[in-house]
Order: sequence, then structure tokens, then C-alpha cells
Amino acid sequence: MADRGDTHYHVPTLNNWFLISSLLLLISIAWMVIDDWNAPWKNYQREFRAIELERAEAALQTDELVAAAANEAEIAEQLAAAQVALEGRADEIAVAEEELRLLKGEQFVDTENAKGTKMFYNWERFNYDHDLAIHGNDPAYAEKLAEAASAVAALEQEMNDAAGVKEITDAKVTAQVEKLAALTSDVDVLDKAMRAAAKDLDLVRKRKDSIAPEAIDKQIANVLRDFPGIDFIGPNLKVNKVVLDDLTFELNFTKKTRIDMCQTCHLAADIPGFDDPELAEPYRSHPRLDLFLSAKSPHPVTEVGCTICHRGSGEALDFIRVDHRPNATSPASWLEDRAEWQDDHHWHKQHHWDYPMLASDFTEASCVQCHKTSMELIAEDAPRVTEGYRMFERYGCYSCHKVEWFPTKRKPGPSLINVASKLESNFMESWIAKPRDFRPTTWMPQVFHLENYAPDAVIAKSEYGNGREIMGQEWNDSAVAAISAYLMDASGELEMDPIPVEGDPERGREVFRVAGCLACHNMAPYTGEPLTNDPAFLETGENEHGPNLRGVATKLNAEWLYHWIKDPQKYWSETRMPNLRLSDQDAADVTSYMMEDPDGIFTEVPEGWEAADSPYNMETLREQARWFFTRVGRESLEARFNGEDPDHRWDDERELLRAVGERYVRHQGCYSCHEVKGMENDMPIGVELTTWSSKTVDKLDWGSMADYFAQAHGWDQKDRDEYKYYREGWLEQKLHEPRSFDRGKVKNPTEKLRMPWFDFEPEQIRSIATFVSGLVEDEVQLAKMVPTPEQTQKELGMRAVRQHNCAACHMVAPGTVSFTDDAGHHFTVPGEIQALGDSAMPPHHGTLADLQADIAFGDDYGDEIEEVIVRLWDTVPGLGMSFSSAIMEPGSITDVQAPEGGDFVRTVVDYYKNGIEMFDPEAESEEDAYYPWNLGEEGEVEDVDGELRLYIEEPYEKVRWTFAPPVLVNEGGKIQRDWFYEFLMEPVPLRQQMRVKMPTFNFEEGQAAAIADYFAIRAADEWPSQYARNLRFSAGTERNPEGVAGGELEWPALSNDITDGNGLSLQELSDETGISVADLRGIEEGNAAAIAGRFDKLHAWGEEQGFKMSGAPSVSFELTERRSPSYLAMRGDIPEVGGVVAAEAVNCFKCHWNNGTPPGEAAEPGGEIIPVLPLAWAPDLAHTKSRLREDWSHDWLWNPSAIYPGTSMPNNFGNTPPMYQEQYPGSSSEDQVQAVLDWLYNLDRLEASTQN
Amino acid sequence: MKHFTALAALLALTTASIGSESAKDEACCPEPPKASYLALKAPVFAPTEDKATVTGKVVFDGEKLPELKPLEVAEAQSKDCTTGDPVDATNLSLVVDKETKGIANCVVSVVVKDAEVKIPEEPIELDQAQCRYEPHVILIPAGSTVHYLNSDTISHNVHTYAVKNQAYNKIIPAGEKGEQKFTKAEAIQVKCDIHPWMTCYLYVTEHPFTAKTDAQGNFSISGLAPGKYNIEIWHETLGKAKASVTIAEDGTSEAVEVKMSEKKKSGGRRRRR
Repeated sequence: MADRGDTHYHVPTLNNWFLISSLLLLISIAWMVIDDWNAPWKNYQREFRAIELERAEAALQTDELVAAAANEAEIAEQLAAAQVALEGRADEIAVAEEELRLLKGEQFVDTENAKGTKMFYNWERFNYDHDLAIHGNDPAYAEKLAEAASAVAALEQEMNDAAGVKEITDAKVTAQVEKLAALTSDVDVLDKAMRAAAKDLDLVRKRKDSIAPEAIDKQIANVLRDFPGIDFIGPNLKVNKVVLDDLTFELNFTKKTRIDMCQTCHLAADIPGFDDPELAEPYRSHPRLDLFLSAKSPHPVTEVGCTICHRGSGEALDFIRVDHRPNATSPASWLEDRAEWQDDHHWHKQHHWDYPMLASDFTEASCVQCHKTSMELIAEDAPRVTEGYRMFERYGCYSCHKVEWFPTKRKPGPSLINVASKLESNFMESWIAKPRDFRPTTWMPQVFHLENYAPDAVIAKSEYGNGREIMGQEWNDSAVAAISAYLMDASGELEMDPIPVEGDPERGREVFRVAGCLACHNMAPYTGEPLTNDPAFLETGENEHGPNLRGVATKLNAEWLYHWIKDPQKYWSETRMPNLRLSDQDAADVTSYMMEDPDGIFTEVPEGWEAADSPYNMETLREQARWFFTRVGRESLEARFNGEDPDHRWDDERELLRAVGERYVRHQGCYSCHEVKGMENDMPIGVELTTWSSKTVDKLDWGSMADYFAQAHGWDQKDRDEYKYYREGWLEQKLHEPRSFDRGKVKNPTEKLRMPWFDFEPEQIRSIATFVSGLVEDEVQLAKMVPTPEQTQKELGMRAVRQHNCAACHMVAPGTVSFTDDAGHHFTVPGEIQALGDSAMPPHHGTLADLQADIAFGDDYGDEIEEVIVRLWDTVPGLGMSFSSAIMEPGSITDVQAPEGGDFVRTVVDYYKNGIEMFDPEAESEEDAYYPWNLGEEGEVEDVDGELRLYIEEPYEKVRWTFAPPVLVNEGGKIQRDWFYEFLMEPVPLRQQMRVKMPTFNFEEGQAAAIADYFAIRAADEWPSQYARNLRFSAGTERNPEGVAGGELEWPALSNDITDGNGLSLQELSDETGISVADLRGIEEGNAAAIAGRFDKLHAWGEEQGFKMSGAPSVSFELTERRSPSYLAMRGDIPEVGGVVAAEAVNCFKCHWNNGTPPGEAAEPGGEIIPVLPLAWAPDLAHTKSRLREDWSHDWLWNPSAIYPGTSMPNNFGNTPPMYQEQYPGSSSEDQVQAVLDWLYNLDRLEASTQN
Repeated sequence: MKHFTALAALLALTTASIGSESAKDEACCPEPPKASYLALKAPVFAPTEDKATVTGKVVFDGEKLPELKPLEVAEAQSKDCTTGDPVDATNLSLVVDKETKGIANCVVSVVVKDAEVKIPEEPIELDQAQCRYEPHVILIPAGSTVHYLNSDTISHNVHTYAVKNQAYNKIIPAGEKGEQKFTKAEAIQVKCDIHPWMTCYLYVTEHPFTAKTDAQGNFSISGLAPGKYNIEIWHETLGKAKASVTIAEDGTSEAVEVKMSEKKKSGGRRRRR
């Protein structure tokens, strides 16, 4: 259009503008397309495809696949030849096919004919039957019926003939099909072989082909699919996402479904095998695919996604928007830690997202949101958060900071109700001021003398700003004195009778050692290494359950200690210290040992420490009162100070102290941890933490700490702001220096921060911060983790076992030994080791460090350790059954893990065998300074009958099984659940020879039942894997002609006859059972998924082989079958015969107690029983009927050593040929075992009947 | 004693019941040991050359001779074990001759490289009689079988605290017997859990030239060729000792004297620093 000149625009110019803007639009579209094509995540995917291609190519080069390829080529050649041959037979095949076609036609006709005749026959038959039923008795019909009968018979004949014809034709067809198949069979067979040979190969090839196809058309298609601009249609590179409908999060006040797209870049996350060290993120496999992401794991990615644990923004596809986190929380290394991220990813904090990703050190925090009711169950897999959780409990965090679901409710500190009966005020004041100065390991935190009350800082100006400046030092000192005054004056008096007997400190030393005190308490020195190797001076974990006892005699009085030992609950109703039911004499002896302290342990205080009253002054106290009692009003307050208020004579020092003290106890929340009279129901003083970590980070009050860090570490404004987004950093600072957030602030004395100082180690701080970071508002709730009743009981039981320190005395699981055999195979087996040097009786070694220390010691002193014995604690196919041992060189042992629990066993056995190692500082030489001490001069130990006896020359095993607390390995498989419960509630004497007694525990409600259940559930869980291992071991042994003397495959009867044997290999068993090697291994290792999936099949196979192993324990109540009347009626006099075998041949009561009667004999018939030596005593058999599971007793009688390696109980029935024919003629060993069991389980009735 | 005689023919032994009349008789005139019953396998030494005998003595090193308390025997069990006499409570864990200070029941081995033990055709027998073991220390060539006899009228259990060999803990009713094969060299304590005072040692050895000291601590080992040898000595409570001997070409050698002393009772625990 021409320019008419009457417009405000100029067309050519406009055209130019159009041109320019269209060009710009085009460019920007192209730019957009290219930018999209070049999105970082697509580049990650391209890179990952390259990695995969490389791996596929490398895989094709492995020996295995190269061989497979060669094999495949060979078969292909044969196949080609066969096909040529086949073509040669084409005519023949065509003829045969034609024949088959004709035959099939014939077959059709004959089949139809047969069907037809059968139909007619059926119809006539029905009519005939019908008439017969209705008119059978009517003579008028007789003739008709006879006619019909013959017609039916004729039809039947016809039908049979037709069927015969059909059968012949069928056979012809089958023959012809076979003939045809034979003509092509070689090709078919080779085809099958081809497919089998290429199975593994094809997988790799297919993968390779899908990434980099060889066919040119596919290549073009691939280029097109990912071509810029059209790559929205069906691209190879695409966003991978999981949509999690039932997992939501809060976004601007609405609940939003989680969509996690993390796997768009983290492509290998759920694929195993991407874990070479040189592979970097995002191309690595998740490190715990057994637990996460994989379909078989408990957390499949399709159900839980990624962000529920890691947090961050699941829908973002950009490194920064996702809110990745450098793993840094320490202000000191903050710049350094994120520098690399800034360089590589231009990382900065994503400000507009409320759920920052957790730094990887803290990821375990997320376990808490679902596992609140299963914290014990996840302990092994989540060590960091578990440590945090347990510290939260041990240090009593929950008592000031409410966490609604936290299972422990009791007050963690000792009761102060009657504290005046226990402590003097000077100790109490030194203790309150700085608890760690007296006991470095205490979990009581320090409340006073912290930075926001610095000694030289002005805390307040007295008299409403008109008086003098009161400094931090006097403020704190007066506060401590006030608290002490209040607690002392408010305290009641514990009723304490005088100690009834005089104590003997020497005997007390022995009682203290063997009665169980050292299971939970240690006496480690305040600083430095202990002088001797006495384990009581080491902190081993198990013996840190109660406080370190060093110095306690300086704070306690003998009377209180005596009564505390006799009955701890009398003083503190919620204490975990159990009642050991010590005799008066024992308790008095321990008291005098500790109070008179011949060993200088209990009266020793840290250097420079002294119990001293805290100084105070009236002016400071009055000022404190002014701050605490503002509501009273100035005039009234001053009146009180002046003695004008008869109800509040605060001119009296003590009254003022008490009044201020009471306020302080409330203000500092002493009552949160300790029982204080009158404050039982007060609310805790700390911030509730139930959902604390859902509070957004910008709400955290950093005070001036971020500025302080910035200054200290040279940060700029941006660094500072970014650091403030670290909740974890804030938490760690709070735990590290709890009052530091008051820095630079002016605050009233009553408003300053009150969080006490615990002196945690950095690692401990990190663990607690991890746990607290997990306290979030419940997004998932229990939707994903609803514990079964079994899991709930197990959780409760495990917690109770931990809280009452059962594992200090009882070994609950054997240790493990890892070693490499001559062939270079690596094994990790349940077992223990003994090193054999020149010493007559080798010490047992708990850990590899023990062994190495002994080897080093031996090298120095010419006592070389040449051999190490590995003794199995359970059947290990390939090595042996429980209690077999292998000899190896020390160098082949690669690791030794101590058994779970049972430190105290070693303490006891050490005392019996070696005495207490003592140190005499006045000795002439170092060598002379060390000497062993036992109560008896020659090394004797007092027995329960009061006699001194020597046990030095007894074998270690003998002492261990006789005098040390029993092991609880497979306890649930052994003990009847109900008896166990009763026993925990009210222990009965069972092993009378032991000085250490099963204490009466102060269980919380439900705990005893939960412990009994826990052991039962655990045994039931472990049974399938025991079965699998014993089966594999026995099955192989049985096939070895020299392996088993007998022929029965019954466990453990079989174990008596095994002379040699290694068991089948997993591969052999897999071939026989058709269960994959991985699944078999899973079953043997106790993997729940493998057991659930395949155990039934394995069990069925075992039964088929004739393998028997007595039944799995049941969690529910089990009937004792042997006591039922029907069973006894069936057994006749066999129980009595069992009694004869037991009493006359096996002599059970030579060692076993019987209903409170010791083993032994009367001097004359009917006289008093003279007991045999305590070393020979064994448990009371009267409990058997309600105590032991029948299955377990059966196994136990067959082979005790296979159950408890080293036990004194002999194998009474395992001989071939069977013994005891005189008492039970013609019986097999199994008959005898059954008869003795019948007798054992009916002992009470049989005895009663003989007495009558 | 019937089982003992079978062994005495082969071994230079003192009886376990030192102090009894018969023991004194034998102790006064110990039968010269012919050769170790743990015979040597040819052809390491030619038969013409293996005539030399090493003799010696193990003596107690220490001024005060150890005084052992008699064993504690439960009164209730004592009358089961014997026909009325109390059970012999002599403690045999360290028997030292008062005059010569010789230590009985030590095991002495002359270490000859590559020599193999010969496994006796007859099983070795350990008897349980009158609630004691007979003998107290018994030599067992590695590979041989031991029969556990019970000549008492009551049951015993044989509990071997073996670590290298398969441990054994079975009941042996009166008059019955148990058996076990030992393949690996070690000193094994044996206990009866029913009668806790009963203890003895099975010394399984791979050295053919092994003998046990008599009541005066003397030993004599024959059948050796000239040369220099190491000697290993073991005692159940005193532990191990070492010595050496040189046999001249003419087959003579100096008598070996080995001193053993009580281990300091350092609690048996190893100091680790």
C-alpha cells in the first residue's frame, strides 16, 4: 500500500519494525528451543547414556560374555547347517503335512461321530432310567422297559464302537505329528539352545541397542525424537517422575501431592551397580538399595519417592531450585564446604522454599517422621538418629522439652524428696554449681556460671537501679545457695533403721565384684589411664549405665548407702537401679567396702575439688527476690526485707534463701528432671519440640550469632544470610553454647536464656541435632509405617532391654569373626576366638583389638601367639556346626566383633580365675607392684554356702557356665513366654550356685511382658534361617559317605553322628530346590523378604529329604502337651521308665536342684541331704514343666554342646548303640529322650504319686 | 591297675598315685625306658644309628616347695565312689619330690624334625576309678583313639576342654566306655562335671620322642641319632619350658636338667601397655 501521507505512521518504517520484531521473535523462539534442548537435566541424561553405553560395551568384553558370544556363534553355525538340511527335506515335509491334513479331517469326522452316538445313548439312557424309577414296579410296563433296555444296550455298543474308531484315528494323528516334528527337530533344538546361550548376552545387547542402535533407520528416528523443537512428541530424554498421591506437604495453606522428579537426573539411583568410586553424582546408585528405592525394599521409590526423606523441592529440575545442600553446618568450615558447589553449580540458597534439602549427614532425621513407634527397630540401619534419640532420652531432654510421642516419661534425675537424708549441703552446692567438676561423665547439665551470667558482667543494679551493681559471680553463687537451702529445708527424712550387722570391707570387695554392681557401674579414673587392667576402671558402654562410682563415699553416708543398696525404690520410686535382694550381711559389707574404701576409689575426689558451701550475700538475694516477686509490689517486698511481714520474715537469712531458692527451682525447671515436693505437676520449662522442625528457618532467633560468626570467619553479608538458613547450624550452636544467643543483648535477669550446658562432643551434638531436625509436623503420619502387634511388642521389648541394661550381664547375641581361609575365601561367622600362646589357659578375646594387644604383648615378652581358635556359635554350612572350631594363624583373622552383651560375664570369670588385679604403689619394682587379690589368701572365692574354694585351675568354660550370668541367645526358643514374664516380675532361684542374682527390676507397666514377647518374637524370626543353615549343612553331610555315622536327618540328633562334613554349597542347593542362590542366602541371613517369599518351598524340600528340626517358637501361648491327660494316657508307664533312666542311669539329681533341694545325698535314708560342691550344681528341674519349651528341651537333651558351646551338661543320649538298655530294654536313644522328657514335665505328679 | 599295666609296658611312667606304697616301689627303681612308644618313622634315621638315649630331670626352681591343699571331695559323693574308703584327695596338679625337687608328670619332647608319630594299634585307655582319673597325665600320639573307661559303679561324664580337637562331653555309665579320636596336638584338661574334683590331662603330641617324668622328675628318651635337638617341656600348672641337648657321634649326651618355677600369680591377665 502506498503511503497516502495522512497517517501518523510511516509504512516502510513500520515494515522495517515488523521485520526487526519478527526476526527478534524468531531468534527468541530458536533460543527458547535451543535452551530447552540444552536444559541441564537433558545434558545429565545424555551423559548418563554415554556412561551406560560404555558399561554395556565393557560388559560385552568380559570373559563370561565373550565366551557366551563364541558359544552363540557356534550354535548359530550349526543352526544354519540344520536349516539347509531342512530345506533338503522340503518335499518330504510337504508330503507329511498333506498326510496330516487329511488325517485331521478324518479325526474331525470320527470325533463328531463319537460325540453324536454318545449323545443319543445318554438321552435314551435317561429316558429308560426315568421310566424305570416311576414304573419299575408296574407289571404293565415290564415289556416296554425290556424293549427300552435292549435299545439302550444297542446304543451303548454303537457308542463304544465309535469311540474305538476315534481312538485309532487319534493315534494316527499323534504319530503323524511326531513324524513331522522329527523332521524339523534338530532345528527346533538348536533354536532353543540358541536362545538359552544368548540370554545374558541379549540383555546387554538390547540395552546397548536401545542407546546406540546399529540400524540406520533407528538412528535417524532417535535423532528426530530428540531434535530441538519436536522433542516434545516422544523424546528419549524425558522427565522421570513419581507421583505420590498419599504423601502431601503444605504449600501456602493447602496440602499438595508430592511429585518427585529427582530421577530425571539421578538416573542410576534405583539401579544397582553404579557405585564405582570414580562415578560422581548424579550417576550413582543409592548406597542402600536394600533399604530404599528398589521394589523389594521396605521403601520402594514408587511409594515413598525421594523428598519425603531428603526434603528439597521434588518438582524442580534445576540444581539450585531443587534446593540442594552442601554438607556443611560448622561455621568454621562453611565457606570452604560450599566453595566447590559455588564453582561447579553457581550454588546459592534457594530462598523461596520452606523445605530445604537436608545436608547428607542429617538425612536420617527423616526416619523419625514415620518411625516414632519403631525407633528401636531401625537402630541398626539408622545409627546417627538412633544415637540422637537415645541421648535425648539419657540426658533427659524430653523432660524440659515436651515431645508428645516420646515414649519415656519418667523423670531422669534422682528424686529430691528426701535429699537431706542422702547429701550434705556443701556437696549439693558444689554439685549444682558445676556437676562436671566432680563427675566428668555425669549427664546432669551445668545450669549456672554460664556466659550470659558471666562472673564479671553486671547482672542488675540493685534497689530498682539505685543501688550497687550486682555481678554475675555473686548472682550465681547466691542462686546456688538459695536452691540448696530450699531443697534441704523442703526435704523429708527417709526412714532408715540402723545397719543391722557390722560390715566387713574385705568381703564387701568380693560381693561388690560378683553381685552385679559392676555390670552397670564403672570406676574409671577422673583423668588419664587406669593403673591396672581391671575392667572396672574402663568405660565399656555397658558399665556406663549407672553413674561412675568414683568419689561417691564423699557425698553419701553409710546408712543411706546401705538402704539404697537394699531397696533403691524406697528412696527413688522411678529409679532404674534394680533390687539385687542382697542379704543384710552382703549389703553391709558392700557399704563398708565403699565407705571405708581400702582401695582409695570411693573417697577420691578430683584434684583441687572440694565440697564447699556456696557463698551468698543478702544484697544479691534481695535483688533476686525483687526480680522474682515483682507481683508482690515494691512496698510489700521492702516490708518483707525489713521484717515487717510476719508471714515473710525475709530479714532472716534462711527464710530469704528459701524463698529465692523456691523461685529458682521453678525458674530453672529443676523439677522437670527431679522429683521435688509440691512441684510434681508443674509444666516443663523448655520449648515444646514435637513439631519444632516444621517451623520455618526464618523464625529462628540467631541473636547476633550470625554476625559473630561472620566476624570470626570473615563472611560477607551474603554468606551470613545463607548460613542463617541452616536449622542444623542453629541447633548445633544451641547445643554447643546454649547461652550464646544472648550475646550482645541487654536482658533482664529473669529473661535470659536458661538452656543448660551439657558439654557434648561435636559428634554427639550432630546426633542430637539430627534427631531434633526430624521432629516435624506429621506429613506421612502412620500411613506408611503401621507397626504390626509383633513389631510393637518387639519395639517395647527392645527398649526395655536397653533401658534396664539386660545386655550388661547377659550375652544376647554371639559375636562375629571374619577371616580369610587358605583359598582366599572370606568368611564372617557367628563365633568367638581364643588365642593360643604359651599360657596354660588362654584368655578369651572380645575384639580384634584385644587380640592385637595380646599379640603385641606376646611379641614383647616372648610369649608368641601362634594360633587362634575360631569357635562357631551356630551352624555355618561350609565350616561346621555349632561348637566346632577351626585353627588359624592370627594374620588371617580380619575382624572380630564382640558379642552383644555380657561384659559382666568376663568380670565374674576373671575374678574366679585370676582375682582382681591390684596395684601397690609402695612396691619396690613395677613388677612386684601388681598382685592379684581374692577373698581367700590362696586365691579362693567364697561360695554360696560360705566356704572358700579355689577355682584358679578350673577351665575357663567351666567357670563361665557355672558362675556367670547365663547367655540369652535364642532365649525365646528356650523359655516358655509366660514363665519368662513371671520370672521377670518375680525372679525365683534357679541357678543357686551363682553369687550374682537376677535382680528384681523396676519395670514400667508392660515392660516385663514386652521383654518376654520380644525374645519369643526374635526366636520365631530367627528360626527359618537356623533351619536353612542346619538343613544345608546336614544335607551335604549326609551325602558324604564318611559324614554321618547314622542315617537319620534329624536335627540335633544328627549332630551327634556327624564326624565330618561341610554341607552343600548354595549353588548345589539352588540346583536341587530351584530357589535362587540370592534367595537362599537371604533366608540364611534372616532377610525377612526372602523368608516370606521362599522359605515354604525350602521347608517342603527339607521335609522331602527327611530333614527334621523341632518347631519354631510361637509368640502366643503354647500348650505343654506332655502334661495333657490324653497324652499321658497314651504313654502308659513310659514316664515312670523315664524316671528310672533319669534317676538310676543319667543321675540328673547328682547335679540338678529339685524343687529347692540341692543335689546331693542323705547320709542315711530319709536324713538331711548333704549337698555336692556348688561347682557341680545345675538349674532346678522343678521349673522345667513351666519354664522350658518342649521342643527346646528335646534338642537340649540330644546335644547340649550344640546349643551352648562349652556347657557342663553332658551329652547323655548320643551314644551308638543306645545306652540304658537295662533300665529301658529295647529302647532307642530317641525313645529314652522322650521318656525322660515325659518324666521331667510331670515331675511334680510322679513324685507325688511315689510318695503316696 | 589293669589298664595302667598296658601302658606301663610302653611308657616310662610313674603312677598317678604318688605316695602310695606301690608308687614308691616303682619310683625307687624306675624301669629304664626302652624307646618311646611313639616310635619313629623310617627312613629319617637309619636303624643302626638310632640307639642314643637322652636322659634328664625336671626340677622345681624355688626355695619353698609348693604345698598343695588336698582336693575337696563332697562327702555326699564320696561314699558312692568307693566301697567305704574316702576318695583319694591327693592333689596332683603339682607334685614335687621333697628331696630331689624333681617334678612328676611333666611331658618332655625331643623335637626331631620330620619325625612322625606311630599310632598305637591298641587304643589308649583312660580309666575312671574310685572317682579319680587313671593316669593323671596321659600321652596321646596325634591320630590315635582314646577309650574312656569307667570301672566305677556310678556314672561319670568325660568333659574334655579341648579347643583344637573336637570337644567332648558325654556320660559314661558304670562299666561302659566312650571313645574319641584326637588329631591335633594340644594339652587338654578333662573334667567330670558330676565330681568336680576329678581332673586329668590328655597330652596330644605330634613328637614321637616324648616321655613323662617319674616321681623324681626323671625322664629318659631313647632311639635318637646323634645331633643337636631342642627339647620342649610342659607341665599342667607350671606351663612350658625349653631346653636343648647335643648327642655326640658315639651316642652319649650330657644329662639335661630343666628348671621350672611357679608362674607369678599376676592374675594370668596380660598387661597391655
